[in-house]
Amino acid sequence: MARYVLGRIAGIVGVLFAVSIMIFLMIHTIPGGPFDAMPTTAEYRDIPEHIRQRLLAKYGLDQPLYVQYIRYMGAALQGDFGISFRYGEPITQFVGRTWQITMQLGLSAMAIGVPLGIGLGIVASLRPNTWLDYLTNLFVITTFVTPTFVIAVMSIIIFAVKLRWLPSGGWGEPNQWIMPTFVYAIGLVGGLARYTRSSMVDALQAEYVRTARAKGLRDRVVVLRHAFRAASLPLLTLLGPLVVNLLLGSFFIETIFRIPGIGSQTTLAVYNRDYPMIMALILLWTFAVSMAYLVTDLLYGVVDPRIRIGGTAN
Amino acid sequence: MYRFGPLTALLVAVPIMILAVGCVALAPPAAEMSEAEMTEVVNSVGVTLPADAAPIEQQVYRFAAIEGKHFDTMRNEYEGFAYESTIESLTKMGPEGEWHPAAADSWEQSEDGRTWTFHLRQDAKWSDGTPVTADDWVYSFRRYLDPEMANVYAWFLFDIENGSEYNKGEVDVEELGVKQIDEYTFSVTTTVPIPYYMFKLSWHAAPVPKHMVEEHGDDWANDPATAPSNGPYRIAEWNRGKNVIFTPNPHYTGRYPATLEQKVQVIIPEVGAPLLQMYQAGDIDGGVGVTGDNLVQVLEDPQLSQEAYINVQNRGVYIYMNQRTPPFDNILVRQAFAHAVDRDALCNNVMRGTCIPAHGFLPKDFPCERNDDPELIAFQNYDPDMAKDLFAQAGYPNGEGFPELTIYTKEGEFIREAEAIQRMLADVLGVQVTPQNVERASYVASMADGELKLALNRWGADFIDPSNFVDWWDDPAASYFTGWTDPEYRQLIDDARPMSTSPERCDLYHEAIKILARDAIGVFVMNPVQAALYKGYVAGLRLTEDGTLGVYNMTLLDDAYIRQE
Repeated sequence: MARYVLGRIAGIVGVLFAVSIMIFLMIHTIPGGPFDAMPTTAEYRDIPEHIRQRLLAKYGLDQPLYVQYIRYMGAALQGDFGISFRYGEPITQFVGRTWQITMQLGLSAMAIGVPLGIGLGIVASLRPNTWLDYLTNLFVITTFVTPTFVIAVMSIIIFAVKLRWLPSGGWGEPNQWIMPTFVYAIGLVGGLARYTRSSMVDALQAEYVRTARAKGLRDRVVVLRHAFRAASLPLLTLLGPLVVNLLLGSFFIETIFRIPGIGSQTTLAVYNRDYPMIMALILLWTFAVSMAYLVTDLLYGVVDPRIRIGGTAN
Repeated sequence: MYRFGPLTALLVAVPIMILAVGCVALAPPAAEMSEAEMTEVVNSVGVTLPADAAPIEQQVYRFAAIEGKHFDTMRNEYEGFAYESTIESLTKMGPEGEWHPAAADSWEQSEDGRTWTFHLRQDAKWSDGTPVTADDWVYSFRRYLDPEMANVYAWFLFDIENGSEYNKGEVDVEELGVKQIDEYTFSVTTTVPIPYYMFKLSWHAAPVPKHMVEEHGDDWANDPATAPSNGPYRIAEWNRGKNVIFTPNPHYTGRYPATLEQKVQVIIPEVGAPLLQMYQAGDIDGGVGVTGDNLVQVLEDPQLSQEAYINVQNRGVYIYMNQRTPPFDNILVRQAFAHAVDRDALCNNVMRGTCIPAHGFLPKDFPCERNDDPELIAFQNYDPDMAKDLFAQAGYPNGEGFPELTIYTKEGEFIREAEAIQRMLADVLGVQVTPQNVERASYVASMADGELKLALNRWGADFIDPSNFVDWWDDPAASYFTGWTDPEYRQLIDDARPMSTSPERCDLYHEAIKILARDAIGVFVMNPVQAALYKGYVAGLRLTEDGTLGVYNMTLLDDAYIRQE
């Protein structure tokens, strides 16, 4: 087991290196550079060549790519991911400040959205093709097909502009937390509920469920202990990346609600050609996604004893 | 994100309709206060506010802007914070375009028009109590152009004698045309007389606190504690990602003392923040610029239309055509395009009055703007028959044989306009152009390498002078260069540039613009209109006589206060 985990971690390190090279090459091949335009006016102005050269030299961007890469990785391995071109803040400090906000938001949304989604899915699966199922389905499909930014803007218009119950955005006060969390959570419900319902419907028809019922177990025990446990396996596959997504934040939620988190930053960093920021955030993403898959794989074994990881099967 | 604009606007529209009956009323703050309690409101720096002012704790003005990189307005890579609140410039342009003394008590221009001498206000202090002297100012100019700073805006002051030479490292700093005369006097000398130079100086020259820069290096501007202000407000707090709070500067002794107790810059992301909804929700009080679809909504809304100040933006929108290669190296093709665009239909029908049709390049009411000149209009007026004729003469009767092209827009701007133009070109000329929106960086890069042939482009004024709109068309170093040059054109603008502001100078610029229109170097389409929203309770705005904001009004909020409602 430990050997398996170590092997996987070594693999993740390898992936990180490969990704770092790819991203490094990509950000330097896409047209445009970090010092091309003036964000305030969004106006493009030509920078005299001698100033551009000095600026590039100031940030070491005049060096050959491999030199830049080696320098970057050398520093990064010592924990120095550079300074954001856009914000002038050290990347590590920036990530520390913004990521905890995103995680706070993601965890709150998960605390609401995951139980709600799974719950609705289970409820729908227990009474398939009844009005309850259809009603759940209607809700699920509506929220599933409505893009987050639409729900976000709609809720701002209803709760902030019209009713004036909540502020339109921002972060820090408890009342600023409510809207983004719920909008975010609603976005989770659809996918989870549909997935749960279909796995549950399959599981409920399985023979061991019939056996469990035949043993005279109470309905709740049959559903939760037997059917849901089996049904949660495919759910895990969905949840792993979902958790990562939540912890790394949503561009739409964070820009529309003006949340100073990390979720909007990858897109903005590319937009601004903020090279150190792009590198750091994509590496962070890669790391998080790889770890999520590792943890998911390990959890498979916990949830379903038939799966044995890294060792020999019984 | 802007590509969601129309959809967002649609979403705004529905609830606005719902709202139409129960219109949003502002909660009247402290409305129950009795007459006796309504005493004079005096703010923390001793300014007595007008009789209808709200209580002192409500004297807070909130506006939205993106996060700056630092507070150093004389060092630009990415922008610093908006500095009107904390930086007092030499002079300020009022609503009617007139100059008022600010950091400078007085100034004079030399006989030859090249040297401007400024006499500073002698009691001026930084918000930490240190005097502001000519030494700070001269230091700031030198630093702005210092090659080591690699300031991307340095070119803005290249007109200063030896400005560009110093910035290139070719001459010593002593050669720079900025000289300290005594403790409170300094002068700026330009290479040639530049009539509008006051604008450049007041818009782009700010003093930095020399004592802080020397002590903390460039980091001085990253922390409010080491970034004192010479203006009416100082920076009290910078909460990254959230807001910047400005409070009255207790050491300010100038002509524009703070009236508000707090100005709060609410930080918004570069893209995606629903500004109009933030404003409607009461999370910001003003300074919201609204264009396009949102503007249509604003004008139709009974409440918002009352709070809107309409003005034509200092922007010219035109069709960029790369003339280095076919098909736009052919003047007939360009002229055919110019006559195929129905600008009135575009602005009045498609854009529902959110732009002003233009046949010239200078925005309406800009100095030297003569867009009503029939001769100018005739060069690019909407004339489908003439357009067809010209196109046939160019070898493309009914569009046959003309390549399919993409018309680019950037950042989601002018997408609808581009679609309308696509339709007009198809109807009139039988050509197929497909609009495509791309992001800023790749737009400019592909324009520079000549890959991009056709775009709906815009130019926004950097300063109030027609030279800004004509200087770069024939400059091969400019990104918006189309490959076209013309000695006659160059001569006109070279002659006009050093002249003093006069109708004769305008004549020359107008002639130059007529060349651009005649040879269809660009197809001039329109000037966008903007509304700036300010809540009714934001009172004391310094407006023009006809109640508009003015073209570059630097004094707008100088007397602003929150009115009791």
